[in-house]
Amino acid sequence: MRLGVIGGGGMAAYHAYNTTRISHCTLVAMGSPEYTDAARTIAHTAGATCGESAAAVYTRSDIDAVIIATPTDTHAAVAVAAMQHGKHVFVEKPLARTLADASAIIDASIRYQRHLMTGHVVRYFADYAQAHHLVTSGAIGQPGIARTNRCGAFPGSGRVWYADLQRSGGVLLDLIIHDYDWLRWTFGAPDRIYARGLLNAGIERKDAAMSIVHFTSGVIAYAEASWAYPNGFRTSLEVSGSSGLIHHANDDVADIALNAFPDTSASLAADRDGHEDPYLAQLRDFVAWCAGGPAPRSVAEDGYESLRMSVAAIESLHTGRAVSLT
Amino acid sequence: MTLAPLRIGIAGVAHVHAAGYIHESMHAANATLVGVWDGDASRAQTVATRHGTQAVASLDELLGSIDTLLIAGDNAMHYPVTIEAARRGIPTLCEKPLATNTADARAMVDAFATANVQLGTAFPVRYSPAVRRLRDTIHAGSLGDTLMIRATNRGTFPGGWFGDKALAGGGAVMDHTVHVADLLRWIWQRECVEVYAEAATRHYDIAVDDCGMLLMTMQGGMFVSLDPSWSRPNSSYPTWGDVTMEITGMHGIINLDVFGQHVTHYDNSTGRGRWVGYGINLDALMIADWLDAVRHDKPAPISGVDGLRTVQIVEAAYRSAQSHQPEPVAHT
Repeated sequence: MRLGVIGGGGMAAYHAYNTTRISHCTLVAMGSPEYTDAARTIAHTAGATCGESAAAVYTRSDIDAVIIATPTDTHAAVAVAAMQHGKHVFVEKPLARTLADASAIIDASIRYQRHLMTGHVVRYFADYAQAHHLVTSGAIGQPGIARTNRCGAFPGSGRVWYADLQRSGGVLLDLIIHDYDWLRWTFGAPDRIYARGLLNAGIERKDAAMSIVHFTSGVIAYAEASWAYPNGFRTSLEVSGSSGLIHHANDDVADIALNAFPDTSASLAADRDGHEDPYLAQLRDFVAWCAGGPAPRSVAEDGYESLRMSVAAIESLHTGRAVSLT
Repeated sequence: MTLAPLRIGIAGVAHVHAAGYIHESMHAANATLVGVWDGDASRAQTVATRHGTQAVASLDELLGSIDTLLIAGDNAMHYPVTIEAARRGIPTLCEKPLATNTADARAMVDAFATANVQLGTAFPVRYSPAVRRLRDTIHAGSLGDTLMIRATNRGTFPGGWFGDKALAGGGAVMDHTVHVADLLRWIWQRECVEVYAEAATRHYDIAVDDCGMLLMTMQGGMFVSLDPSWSRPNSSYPTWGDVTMEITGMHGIINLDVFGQHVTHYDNSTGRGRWVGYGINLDALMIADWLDAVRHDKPAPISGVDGLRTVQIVEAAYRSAQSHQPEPVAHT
């Protein structure tokens, strides 16, 4: 499989690196108007070219599939063009900035008969996959309340476009969508959503939101995301049911930790030892799918439906009303 | 000059907090517990015998022999008993929620105002040292403006009348909204303007809600999520529940866990681990403060109006759970 990566930022660099860890995969080209040093280094190491545009990747006839990791509001134009040129497409979450854009991407995948995967990587995290398995196998009886949190510091200076909340959509589009996807995966279709948040508060380098999602099955979910922490990145998950409860948080599970001094660069905290990197696992699934294997855990429709929840949450935040999802 | 001991009576012993109130009344300084009365005479006798106090045959007899009344029955009995106590001019500390609906709560507040005696609402969490420190921190301003709060007051279904709509007025949302709602009003000194809520029965085979989720908007735009669900598994979770807050401010994050002071005890004899608390006794502080107010004719430390405001939030939450839209909260 010959792959191209469109984008030159942190996620693009990481996906590019992961292509080099999959056997029978070759990173042929990257395309972006600008690159981080890390992205350039990975491309050079892999022997891939660094073009100045997305087109420099998807117009090449020697590439089978592309990975799109550009700012969210550029996904649609790039993905549609790539499929038009016969490429299978892996697109980072969120699938697009708007539902119209997302529809255009899915329409293109149907018209050009191309595989389309959205990078809802949380489904590949061993902890979240285990929690999904426990709930769906009946380990807690009938589920009642689900709670998710995803909280950290505002995205760093290397990711300037995030700070334009109209472009990135803020936490309700970019961050909480991970949990919306997990909740949909686990509990099925949602039927209404209500959200409050800081999107319109006009506070420099801070965004946070809280939402309540009701599912057709009767499950009530509380999902929260924040870029208003001074530091760190914390996630937690809890589901209560008629016969039990599951709980998981990322800050209490490191299976090995080292706090070094005098400087912290040597510090270590790992809790996924023995598991494949979830970003690598999802890419491996995508590559296998493109080579004729089974569909991955998250396909285009999942990207669309999770985006629909985020868009509805933002609408709720703007209108102050609950939004129906039926 | 020595003051005569305050004579305390307890009406209603069906609430899970009754045992604590009886114990604290019997051990309060310069006070004495006259006895307990309950609409169910045999229940009153059982509880009285267990605690070494006496069961009083009628409410009338109890009210005729006390200086102050504590109420710890089911939610529906608060209204008739407090109205009678007001008529007799007896300062009364009522278990939360103050009433099962706003109209009753308002009538109770008005009756005590007319009688010119104190009506208090039992919100012991205000006496938590951690809560006091949180209040001081917020008022000192070092956190900057509070942007949002994630709160929980989760628990287990207490059983009995708590599952009876007529006696409880509602389920988890009725039982567990008011503590946090009171802390919000007390610490941030602003009212809840609007509430969105979901409520459902998912965990137990009961006729009231055991699942709830609220998203409240306070004056000034601060928003607060509150999970009042009876969602702690009742035979395996290490404790009854929690009262927690995470406060996001302009300058940082504060985490509050009111019952965080505990030691974990794994016990083969029960087959489970338990969190054994070592926090100070909040009921004792609340009752001592109440008795001090009665003795010195001071305003109720936590008033009937405080209770009424939280009932107004509960009522709006239940309206929202029906309408599936945010509902305004009355606060007059």
